[in-house]
Amino acid sequence: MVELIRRSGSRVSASVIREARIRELDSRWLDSAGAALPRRYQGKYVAVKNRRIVAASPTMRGLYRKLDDLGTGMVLIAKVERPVLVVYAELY
Amino acid sequence: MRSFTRGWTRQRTETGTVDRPVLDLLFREENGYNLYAFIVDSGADISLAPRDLGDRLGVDWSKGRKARLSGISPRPECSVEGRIHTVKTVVPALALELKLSVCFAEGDAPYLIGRETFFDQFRVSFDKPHRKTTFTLTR
Repeated sequence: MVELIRRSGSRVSASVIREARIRELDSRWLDSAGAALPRRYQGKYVAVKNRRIVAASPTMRGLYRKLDDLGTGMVLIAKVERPVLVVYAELY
Repeated sequence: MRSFTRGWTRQRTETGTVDRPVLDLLFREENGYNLYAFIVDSGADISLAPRDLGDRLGVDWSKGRKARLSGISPRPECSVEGRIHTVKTVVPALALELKLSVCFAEGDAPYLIGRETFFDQFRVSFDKPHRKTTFTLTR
C-alpha cells in the first residue's frame, strides 16, 4: 500500500508511485553502468527504461521529440556528464 | 521521522571516475510522468534544470523571476539566462509530493537539487566513504 503525503494540494495515484519506483531501479542500473557507458553518450541526455537506454540526445528538446515518437511511457531521464570534474556556477 | 538512503552515481572523468550524490524526482508533464536523476548539490543556492523541462511542465518561462548563470568564466557571453519558478515534484521513495523552486535555464543545463526549498524540507547527510546520502524529513 502506497502512502501519499500531500504537501502541495494535488494527488498522485498509487499506480504512478509504483511505476516510479520501478523506474528507480533503472536509475540504480545507470548508477553502476555510468562509468562504463559508451563514449557516444557523454554530454548527452539519456532516457532509460528496463535497464536499456531507449533514447539519447545532446538536447532535452531532441530527447523529448524522440520519446514522443517512441511513446515509451514513463522513463528515467538523466544527463551523462562530459568526462570532466563539475565544480561551480554563479547565478545572479 | 521519515527518511531514506540513496546511493551515488558513478561517472567517468578525465582523471578516472567520480561518484556523485543523486536523487530521483518525479514530474507530471503534459503527456504523463517522467522520473529525473538530479545531482544533489548542497553548494548550489537553488535547483537547476533545462528550460525544456519547464516547458513540459506547462510553466510560462517568461513569467519567472529572472536570473543569469555563469560558470568559472565571468565573461557575459559565457552566461546563460534562466527563470525561477516553483513547481510540484514527487519523491517516490517517500511518496512525498512537494513544491520546489527551480531555475529553468536556457541551453543544456544539468539537473541539480540546490538548497532553496528542498533543504528546508530535508536534512541531507552525505556519506562519501559509503557513497550514499540519507534524506530525512525535517517535519
